[in-house]
Amino acid sequence: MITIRKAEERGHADRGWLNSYHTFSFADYHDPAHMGFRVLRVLNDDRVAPGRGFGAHAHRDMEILSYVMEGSLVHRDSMGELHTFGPNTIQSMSAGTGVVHSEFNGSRDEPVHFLQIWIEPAVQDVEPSYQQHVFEPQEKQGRFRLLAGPHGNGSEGAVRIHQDARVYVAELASGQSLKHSLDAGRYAWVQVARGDLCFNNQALKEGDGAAVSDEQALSFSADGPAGTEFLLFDLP
Amino acid sequence: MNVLVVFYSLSGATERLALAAAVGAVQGRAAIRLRRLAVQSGDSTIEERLDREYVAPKEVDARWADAIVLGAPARLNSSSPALNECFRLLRSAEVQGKVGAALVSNGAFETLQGAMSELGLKLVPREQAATDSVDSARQLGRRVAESAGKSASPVLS
Repeated sequence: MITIRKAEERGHADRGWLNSYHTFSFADYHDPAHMGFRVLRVLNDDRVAPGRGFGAHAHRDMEILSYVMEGSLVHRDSMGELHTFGPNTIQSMSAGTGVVHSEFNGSRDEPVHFLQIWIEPAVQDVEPSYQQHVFEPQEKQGRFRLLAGPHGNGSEGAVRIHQDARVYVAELASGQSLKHSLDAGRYAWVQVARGDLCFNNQALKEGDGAAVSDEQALSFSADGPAGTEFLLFDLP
Repeated sequence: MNVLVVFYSLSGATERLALAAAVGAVQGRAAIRLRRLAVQSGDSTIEERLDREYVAPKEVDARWADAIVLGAPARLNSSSPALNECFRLLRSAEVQGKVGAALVSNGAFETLQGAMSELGLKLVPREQAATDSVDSARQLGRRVAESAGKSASPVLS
């Protein structure tokens, strides 16, 4: 079964400096019908004005991933981590017992567009940690590039999360296609980050998501002229 | 429970302690708000960053809090307008009876704790509060959260 979450039906917050779309309930947007999907709790599509961002705030027991589409983010936290990162980078923070951090647009001139993802951990009270991996753009072109998984920092350079979930990104040029097979009992979330995607014969556009249950064969293709970029969450 | 951490930082050193105290409070399962007193450090780079990452405390923050941690540098300027404004704000928020802790090394501890005591805050004991390392600041934050969680039992009058 595939359930589409249309981009325009997401929660929306426009604070001037922040334009954010919430696939699931977040902050002032609360919809009991959209509290997350399996262990995927938050999927925010954020655009932050130059020089602006989220001041120091706390997290506990959450796997927090950021994936920049355009621009750059500056991250600072109570573990002493200070990093600036941009596209083709997966950044994660395991909040565990508690962490305080801030994140700001790293540019004074350009907005930053990024996806923030929260995944509920399988274990609580882990030691907080920070990870970041940069990869080459071609690693996601025409194939799935693992961004995060339970085994993390293997040869693929993915971040380790404390959950049996895998997050992939793929970029397809017009006419390209990909397949993914879900193991029995697994679920998936598909999120279109850019362009138009044909997913199991259903048309998704930028910002659309799809919840997948009781399916094994997933097929993806880019039919539009500009190609597409999307995230695939393979979830317990 | 809710813990408000307010700090007065010129160089970033007290900010680090405040962050550690906030983490400790989160470890103690508190919700936290971190606020910075608007003081001029003379270092525009640090000031610009601190101004970007923190806002100044408001009365609503103090009313929200079950516990208040106030961090300041060892060489505290007790006549600082920002500090005086903070105490005015805390007084106006009627914080008496809430848990409080001074996050400062020995130099200014008595000054800060004395002022907090005058507000009627229930202060954590000195041996737990006098802190100038990240680890002890984190422990203090956690202890403050735990004390606020069982606020019926007075800590130190």
